[in-house]
Amino acid sequence: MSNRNNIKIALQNRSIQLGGVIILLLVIFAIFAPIIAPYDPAKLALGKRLSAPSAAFLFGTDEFGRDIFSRVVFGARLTLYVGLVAVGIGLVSGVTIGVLAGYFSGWVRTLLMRSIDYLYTFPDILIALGLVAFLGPSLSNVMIAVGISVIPYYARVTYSVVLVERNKPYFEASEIVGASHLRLIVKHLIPNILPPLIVVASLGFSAAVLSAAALSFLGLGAQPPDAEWGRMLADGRNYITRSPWILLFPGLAIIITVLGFNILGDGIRDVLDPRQRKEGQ
Amino acid sequence: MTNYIIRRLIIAFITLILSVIGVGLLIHVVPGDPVMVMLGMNGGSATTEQIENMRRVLGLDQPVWIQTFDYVIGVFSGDLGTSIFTNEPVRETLFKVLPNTLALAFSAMLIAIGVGLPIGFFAAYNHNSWIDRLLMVVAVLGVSIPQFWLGLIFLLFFSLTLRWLPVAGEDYRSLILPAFTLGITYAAIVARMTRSVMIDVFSEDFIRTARAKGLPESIVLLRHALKPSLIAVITIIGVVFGYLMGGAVVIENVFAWNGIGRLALEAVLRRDYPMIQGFILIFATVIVLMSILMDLAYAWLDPRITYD
Repeated sequence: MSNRNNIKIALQNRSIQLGGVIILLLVIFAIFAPIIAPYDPAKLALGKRLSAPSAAFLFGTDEFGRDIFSRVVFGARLTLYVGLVAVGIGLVSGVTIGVLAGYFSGWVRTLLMRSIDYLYTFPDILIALGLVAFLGPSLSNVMIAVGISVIPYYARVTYSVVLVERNKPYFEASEIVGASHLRLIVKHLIPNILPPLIVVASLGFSAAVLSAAALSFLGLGAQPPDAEWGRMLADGRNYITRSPWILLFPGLAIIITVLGFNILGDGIRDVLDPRQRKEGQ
Repeated sequence: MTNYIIRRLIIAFITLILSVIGVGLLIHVVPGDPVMVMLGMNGGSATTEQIENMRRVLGLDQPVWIQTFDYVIGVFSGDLGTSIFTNEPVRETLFKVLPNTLALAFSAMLIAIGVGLPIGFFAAYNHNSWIDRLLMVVAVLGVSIPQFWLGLIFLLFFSLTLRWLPVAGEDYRSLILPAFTLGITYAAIVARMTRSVMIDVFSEDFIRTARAKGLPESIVLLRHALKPSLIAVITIIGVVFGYLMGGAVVIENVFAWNGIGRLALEAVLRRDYPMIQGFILIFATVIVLMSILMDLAYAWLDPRITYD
């Protein structure tokens, strides 16, 4: 099936459409944050603290009188940034480990995959927490820690695909005619790893956003006055009885973002898995 | 069978030793001098004497391999070191509150399994019907909600507004909200996992054969589908338990539940490295123990697993 055909099928999938639109909106918010946000996200207005949502303050104001809508809009920037860096770290390291382990057999494979399997048994939030504990709390360390914590997912997916591909006749044939390691990996393995990786990356993005928000909520990531959604919830938690909007909007922002990537990932998986496609349509 | 169990136990033991070595080495991940970082956090300016003293107490004046060796020996003789902040033994401090975390994780697990499993099973049984789609929409929503946010919402609603449940405390009433928060978010994950494995089970040849023979549906479900699904369920329990423990760390801090997660966060914020190491070690041990239990359960249930 041609690539164009695949893309056509993908675009007709309702999950991909919905997830795609959500992510597109998020990207627009992130890029045009200074235009969309009516106020400076860090500007204090103590006279207007804890105002309820109104025409002037769409989502109300926080304990320092800052406009929550503007902060949520700017938060999209941090969230995308954190997600991209974390997924990038996980993807690059995971694919490298997976390819090495799947391509070379012997002790390299045993060592790499045993370590990956071991790390895989730990919840990623815990690996991230442990790493931040030693690296020191900050948003950049959270990105690194969350990135490292998701390596096992990418490594395992890559590894299993590489194992399947390298035993296929075409692969053995190229090996026999003397194709170099690099050529075999770049030309034959990488294209086959890509589709399942797209699914894992999309679902991994939402996992990374959730972990990073949780760590920032715990005070280990973004520091004040950063407009980061998890941090906003942590800072506002003492005012939730009086001003529930402080709790509501940053939370909804996280949910919608995570939902977008989850739906997109599920949709791509359905399209890529022919068995599901047959049953589903 | 005995051989298989012994081999699993040996592997688990080696894994544990490697974990201890890894945790012992973690202190070298600290950027800069860990002693300076700790003293900087806990006392401001420190004298050279204090610095040297702390270096000696932590064994950081020794070569790395001796430090690691000492740490491993210490751990296996029950010594997890001393908290830099409270000067109390790490082991006692952590063990005092560990039961609270386990209570939270197990009650959340009951909720997650009790809610998620039937939903996943039901969705798989009615695969591709509207009810399946509806349940899966709810489940994807469930896995997208941050636990700490849901916890705050519950806190606001049930404790602060309705005043049905305490905001914090140590009795069983204070356990309800954190356990429910944790359980309900993982119920969504359990439902998704159960559904996908059950779809596979229901499309197996032996199920089709059983139906083709004209067996009543109840027999098909109880005699043919139950056992393979039990294996799947055990896998799910194993995976989810680890994740529940991780979630507990966050949830304990939302509800001020006095468990090791709360202790760990305090330790992280104070750079109390021996305490953090102890925390990670306890987690590693719990997870390794859990994986042994899983392996034993597989061996018991799955006739295809050979024991040699």
